[in-house]
Amino acid sequence: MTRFAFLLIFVALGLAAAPVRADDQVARGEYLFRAGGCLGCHTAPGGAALAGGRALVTPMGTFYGPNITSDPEHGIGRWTDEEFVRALHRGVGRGGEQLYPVFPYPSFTKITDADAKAIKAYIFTLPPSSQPSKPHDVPFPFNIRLLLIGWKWLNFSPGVFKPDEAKTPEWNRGAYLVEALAHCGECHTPRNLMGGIERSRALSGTAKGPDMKPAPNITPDPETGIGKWNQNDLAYFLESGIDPDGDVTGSVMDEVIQNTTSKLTSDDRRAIAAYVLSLPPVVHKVGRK
Amino acid sequence: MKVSYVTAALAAIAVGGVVWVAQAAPADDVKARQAVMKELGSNVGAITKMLKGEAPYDAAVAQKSADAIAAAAKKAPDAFKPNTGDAGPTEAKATIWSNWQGFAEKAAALDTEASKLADVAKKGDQAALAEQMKALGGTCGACHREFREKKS
Ligand code: HEC
Ligand code: HEC
Ligand code: HEC
Repeated sequence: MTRFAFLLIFVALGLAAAPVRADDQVARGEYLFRAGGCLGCHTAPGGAALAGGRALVTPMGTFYGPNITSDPEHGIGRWTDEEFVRALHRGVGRGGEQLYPVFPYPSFTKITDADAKAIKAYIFTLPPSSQPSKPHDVPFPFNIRLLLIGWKWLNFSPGVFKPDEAKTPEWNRGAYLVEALAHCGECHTPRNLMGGIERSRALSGTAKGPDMKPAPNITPDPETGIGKWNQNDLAYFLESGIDPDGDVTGSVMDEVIQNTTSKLTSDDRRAIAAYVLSLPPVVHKVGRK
Repeated sequence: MKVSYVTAALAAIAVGGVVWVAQAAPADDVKARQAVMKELGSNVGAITKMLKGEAPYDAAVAQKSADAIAAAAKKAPDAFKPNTGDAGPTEAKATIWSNWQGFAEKAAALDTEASKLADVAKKGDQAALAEQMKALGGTCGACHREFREKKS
């Protein structure tokens, strides 16, 4: 009898879960896709979503986010799940070519396999575009992809995010969002001469951030960072763009907020804030402050 | 009757004086338009403090701040008129004057949302105020993104 009841429950769960699972994965993928800010870099202003063409200006030249729609010819329609996960985790393209770290795989390497596959599932529900990817405008020697092997050896440590059991679930969720998906450090962390992220000075700001413009120190140092902000302040800023003084951010941070952080749940924003404000304060003056 | 003529005349001189000073000293223009922005900022700050729970919600303060935002929003486009240039330390981008139409549209969007904010504040509904604050913040960010170059 009890065995029969178990069986019934099992069957009921199985039936309920099977058709829902695919949709679930897509819905989760959509959320993670937003958190990862994939849209901005892979969509030209006014262009078709994910069809590529957005210019990304770096000290090494101008890169253009490629077409990552499900188009088989010009997008990633033929990519397997494994190839997709490998691109995010290792910075390697479908043909085995080395990818440039403007594609923030030094952060995306921390995304779990399940989350990466969910992102792909969502992307494949969007309309394909047959727009060819625009070639990067990168001078010698940076145009040699093979050199990236050396770069990776020195500057890239692959590996999925590992939660810190000593910390709260909120902190770990925040750490995962900041380090793996929202890649705050790609803009807010200073880089070494080779464009590698300086982990020891994480989030302490840089004069040469996105589009060669400054990105401020967001470690909790009271003078040069955001040490005077509390968790409410930071969570509210990530929702609205409004800082504790009532000033409103512009530039690419406005885009990050519109496309990414304002679309997260308020629990996730609070988690990001808790994590960022728990980091060691770094004294690092960027610009005026 | 006479008194009010005198007052009107004095007012005219005062206004004229201000206008004259403004035209003569572009550096003051920069300060004046920054003062309009600071007025927006400090009142936005006062409301968001309450929305974040940093200060107790006070409908009267919300109303006063929302009215001040609506009033300052009305001054925004004129404070940037072409003759106000870019003398003195400024975060204003030159594209404001080369694309005045675009700038004026952003200022109009601010005006619209700021007036709505003042209306919402009158009703004293905190959740509605929080929603409208985000709509307002969107208009600030949209203009800053295009026309302000932060020197931080
Ligand atoms: C900061 C900008 C940026 C962000 C954010 C970004 N990408 Fe990219 N991505 C790029 C660039 C630039 C390239 C091209 C790299 C190259 O040519 O070596 C790229 C390449 C790729 C590729 C390889 C395409 C190919 O044809 O080889 C995939 C897949 C990809 N991105 C997926 C994603 C996903 C999924 C996200 C979100 C989780 C994302 N990207 C977020 C900039 C970005
Ligand atoms: C694409 C680059 C980029 C990314 C990604 C990014 N930021 Fe920013 N952020 C900036 C820039 C640039 C500014 C300066 C904005 C300005 O001038 O108004 C900024 C400003 C800020 C500020 C305001 C600091 C101050 O002193 O006023 C905070 C807080 C902040 N970012 C937090 C974050 C967090 C948290 C993340 C990750 C969820 C993040 N940022 C991701 C580029 C970025
Ligand atoms: C129509 C465009 C526009 C809109 C809308 C706008 N701003 Fe501004 N704001 C600017 C420009 C341009 C500057 C730089 C002015 C300068 O330095 O000369 C600025 C500067 C500022 C400053 C810095 C002032 C200083 O010098 O200390 C604050 C604070 C500010 N804005 C707040 C706001 C708030 C809050 C809103 C929305 C309620 C808003 N702004 C809406 C264009 C705009």
